[in-house]
Amino acid sequence: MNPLSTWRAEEERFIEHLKFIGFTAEAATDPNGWQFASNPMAPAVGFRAGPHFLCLYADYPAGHHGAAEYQQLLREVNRLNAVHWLVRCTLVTRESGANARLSIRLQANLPIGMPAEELGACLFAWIRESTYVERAARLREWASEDSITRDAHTRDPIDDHPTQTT
Amino acid sequence: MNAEDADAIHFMEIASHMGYLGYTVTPPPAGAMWYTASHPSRWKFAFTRWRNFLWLRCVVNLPEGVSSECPQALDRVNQLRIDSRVVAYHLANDGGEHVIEATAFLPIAYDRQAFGEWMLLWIEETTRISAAVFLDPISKEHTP
Repeated sequence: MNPLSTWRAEEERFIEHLKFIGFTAEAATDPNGWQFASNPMAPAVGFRAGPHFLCLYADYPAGHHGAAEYQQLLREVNRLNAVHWLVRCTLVTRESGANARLSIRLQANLPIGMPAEELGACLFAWIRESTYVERAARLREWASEDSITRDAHTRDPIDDHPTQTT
Repeated sequence: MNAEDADAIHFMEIASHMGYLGYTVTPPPAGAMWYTASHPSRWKFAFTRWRNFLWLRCVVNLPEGVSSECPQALDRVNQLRIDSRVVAYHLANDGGEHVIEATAFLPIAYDRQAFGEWMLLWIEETTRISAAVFLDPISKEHTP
């Protein structure tokens, strides 16, 4: 069988699996073959099948940082790798020069052709671990915003929280 | 056949396969769970069954005087992660020993060809520890 067909079949199977846990796959438009799926209760996930693996992917912005903050982020990313078992977490620089921005990138490579039960278990781990990182990234972003933006942020109903209403 | 017997047969297959890659596999002592795989020129590692995975774990001491908090070491390990496909790396302070730990979770079901491919990736990616940490020495002045 042509490897490309195998990979496409794996992606189709994965999309069907995602529907069982509330994800909706978006139309495939990425030139590099990544597809994305979103879920109102969980972080969005990117995925692409290739040799050996179905690769899961997510990227969370970590802002612009000086050397001291960069080291702090490196330590945090190191700690995340020590406590997570499925997700590999890396600090990457996006763009360059004055526009350079840091991202925390999550990846997990799942073997092609995993039985549905095992794939489902891995997806649960992916959701748990990526939710943790996304939440930490969101809190860091919130903490670094100026007070005006922060006020606006707390009024945003999506981010509203019962403990913030008093 | 009970589950323990099935596991023992399974690990015999894995140990036998590792033999073809030059590893000598030592079963765990009674009551312990980690098998060890030693090789004359590669990093020694341990493995065990964890749920439906084969968990591989390789722990290497950092060079003397280099801490797990060392910024340069953290940066290099981050780069290792960026380039890896199977292995997740992190630095740790293991009871005063500063180490780099590499872990991977492989499918537990044994298939000769697939397992061979996984093992090649594991060997390739753990071998990179040497270049990242030892061949190009980490400057001690960066170690807090």
